[in-house]
Amino acid sequence: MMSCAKVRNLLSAYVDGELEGREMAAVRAHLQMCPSCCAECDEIRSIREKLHRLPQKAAPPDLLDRIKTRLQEADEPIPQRLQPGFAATVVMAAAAVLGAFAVYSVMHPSQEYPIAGEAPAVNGSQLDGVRDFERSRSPFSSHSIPVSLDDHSWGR
Amino acid sequence: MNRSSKLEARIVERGAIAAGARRELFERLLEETHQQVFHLALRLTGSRADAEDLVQESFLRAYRFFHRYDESLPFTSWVYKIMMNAYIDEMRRRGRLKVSSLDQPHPETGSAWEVRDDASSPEETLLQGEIDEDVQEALNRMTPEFRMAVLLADVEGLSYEEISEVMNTSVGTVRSRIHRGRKQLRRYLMAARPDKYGRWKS
Repeated sequence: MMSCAKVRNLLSAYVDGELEGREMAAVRAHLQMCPSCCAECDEIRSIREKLHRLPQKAAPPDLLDRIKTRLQEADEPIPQRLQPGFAATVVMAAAAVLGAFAVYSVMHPSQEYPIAGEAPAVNGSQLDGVRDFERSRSPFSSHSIPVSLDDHSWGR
Repeated sequence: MNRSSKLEARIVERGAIAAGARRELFERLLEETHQQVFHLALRLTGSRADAEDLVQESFLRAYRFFHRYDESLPFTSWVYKIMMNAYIDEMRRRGRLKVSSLDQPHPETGSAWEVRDDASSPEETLLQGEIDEDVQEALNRMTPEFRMAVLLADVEGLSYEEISEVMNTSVGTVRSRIHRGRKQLRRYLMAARPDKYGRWKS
């Protein structure tokens, strides 16, 4: 015969009709013999009933409209954002400008160019653009994907 | 208008039509289910303000991922799955907020389920003076995972199999959470109101 401790752990599943076969039969047989486990079973049933009978509470009348408004907002076209490829293009363009400038300087060593002045200014402003782009992306990527909402978590 | 901007306009147009039809379908489901979803959110959070925020956030997330919904779960169960995630996210976030500062504005905007100043004020606490106050109070004190499992079983009437889908866990874990949850609830009621629930002496 199943022990009281084991039976008690199965009582919720028992009252919910979630036991099958031998387990179900074993718990039922135990309950017929054991008044103490039977009392425990009634208590579990009573808790279950209390929750089941909790009165339904109505949503505030304007909740539906508020949600619909937010859905509409979600559909509005997203303001033109920089595409990921754009950042790479900016970096490569900056590198190309610098490279060309360096080659030109080597080929014309006698002439003085304000390398320290102009080149970093071009490079600096371009990279600011990249940083702005990274900043503009972060709010979207940080909370748009709910935890474990991956393709394989449902759909079976 | 040059060629590339014409193409862009066409893509935006097609997106808008698809979004319109999608929203219409989603809104129908929303209308049918929002009361039920609100009720569960209310029992889960124990506060009307929090429940409203949670329901809004859940439907918004559901809408964003609506293209992935394939009807293998009932729509409400699918929304509950999203709601459980949103709720856990929010609880984690509040846990962090408590250690830092509640006065600081939340850095995320838009779809974030934001903490409301009045969320935990006494007058906002659910159902004061109503008959089910004891049970709700006991629910509020339960371990969140147990509370979710118990509510899905006893309020929503889902099977253990369905609950395991919603909570992304095994049926065995669901079984254990429900049982331990009900026992927590009973223990709280016995301790808080022995006059009313005193027959449960073990």
